[in-house]
Amino acid sequence: MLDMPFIRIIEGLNHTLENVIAPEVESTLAKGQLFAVVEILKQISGRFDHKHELIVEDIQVSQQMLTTLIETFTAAAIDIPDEFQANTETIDATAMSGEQLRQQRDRLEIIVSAALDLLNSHRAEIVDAQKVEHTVFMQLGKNLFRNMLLVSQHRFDKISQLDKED
Amino acid sequence: MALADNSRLASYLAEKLGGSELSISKEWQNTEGWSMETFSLDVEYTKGGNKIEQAIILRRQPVSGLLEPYDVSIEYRILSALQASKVIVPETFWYEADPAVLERPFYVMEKVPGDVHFVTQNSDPDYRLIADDDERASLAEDFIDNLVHIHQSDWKSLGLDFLGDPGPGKNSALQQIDYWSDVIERAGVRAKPLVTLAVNWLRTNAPETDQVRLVHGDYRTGNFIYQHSHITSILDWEMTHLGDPHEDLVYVLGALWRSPAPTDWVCHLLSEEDFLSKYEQRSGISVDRDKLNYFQLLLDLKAVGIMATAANAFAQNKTEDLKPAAFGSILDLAYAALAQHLNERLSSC
Repeated sequence: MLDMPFIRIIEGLNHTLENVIAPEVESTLAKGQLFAVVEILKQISGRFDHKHELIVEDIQVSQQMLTTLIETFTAAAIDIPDEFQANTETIDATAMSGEQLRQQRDRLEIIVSAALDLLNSHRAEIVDAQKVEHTVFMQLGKNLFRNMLLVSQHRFDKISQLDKED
Repeated sequence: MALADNSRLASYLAEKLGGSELSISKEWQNTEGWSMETFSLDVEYTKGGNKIEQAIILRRQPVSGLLEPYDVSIEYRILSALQASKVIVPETFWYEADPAVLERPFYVMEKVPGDVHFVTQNSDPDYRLIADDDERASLAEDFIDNLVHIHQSDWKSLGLDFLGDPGPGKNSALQQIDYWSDVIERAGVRAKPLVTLAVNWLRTNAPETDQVRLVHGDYRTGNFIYQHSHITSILDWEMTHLGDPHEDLVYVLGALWRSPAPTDWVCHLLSEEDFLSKYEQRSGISVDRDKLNYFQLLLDLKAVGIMATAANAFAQNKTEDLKPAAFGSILDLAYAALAQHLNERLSSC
């Protein structure tokens, strides 16, 4: 979900705030404040974008994985689609918008997945396919760890309203 | 949030309960659950000349959410079938498929008295979800017994074969991989390289299941009602299927419902060693550590599927409920768990 454009996330939040939550709020002060939140979110939504450097790192990692897989296929004399090689070329991230970068990242992930499926379907012809899988997995590792650190401590008990005294 | 016009609902319930002069004295939506919509209703009516006060639960299919596509009739059929088993479940009353009644299908069951634990992560070494040690020990016994009853139940004679018998061999694992791969595909994250690596490893290394068992699929503290130190009902049968019992075992051992170190009790109840040895002793089913490791990875894949589905429900504007969105916003934690266990598997062979 957090891969979505922020403008879309804020639209969704505002829809629920305005149509589901506001009608249940009895205090006029609280209701007014809630609409102020909706208004602020709406005004700032068009000015947000994902951090480019995170998406660029994701793209670089996918290209690394793809390169490793192409080397493996080449060594085992397995034919590969042209798009594998074409997508290892360095991109000019500075010339791309956030939306274009996200699309490029998603496209690359689809290609890497297809390459992993190809590897899996040729396991018998590849020397130690699992070692290759572990190598590409380790290439992914840094970004997975980075993303995990970006997650804040959640407070689902508050959402479930079990702490009734609060 | 009111379910429907009070007098219309009262007439409907009176007809179904075979009573007259029915009034709904209290109605509220339970907020603990994150998937199916659960409503509690206190009703009073006259039947055979007697005044009856009754508490009932109405479980309604949500529009969208964590475990879609929804079919609430499946949970109703499972609970109804289990009335004839040793597993403690609420008594079911009826299933209503007609959307004209409350917009979406629902079923009605008894409201079992007692409380439900809400499990949150806590790092305080002195933290106790269940403060009283005697109560904890008693609940632990009931917890193991009910799991054993589930796994020992004769699902064929109970009429639960409609859940789909995977048959002996690798199909228990392979069917689950296919199921969750489809879920992840629909949620739009199947092409993540991490997911592809995990799915391929799971398919290549699927273990044999010698005897197909009933698997609860969500068996943990937080999904049972307790009262006076005993479990009075096992809840949440939304992910129940036929398969390998190690799926439930590894779920019970999950990190999310362990007490903090140094106790590290599974489901805040007892040590892992005690749980597994008592389970083996009572069920006669041998616990295979390699299978636990395997099904841990499958469980991680399942978590990715559930969180991604929740996120997708928000992304596709399918629901106004923000709970799935909040759940989906921490999808990276599910990826991290999948990565951790995939690394162990890829390094170990």
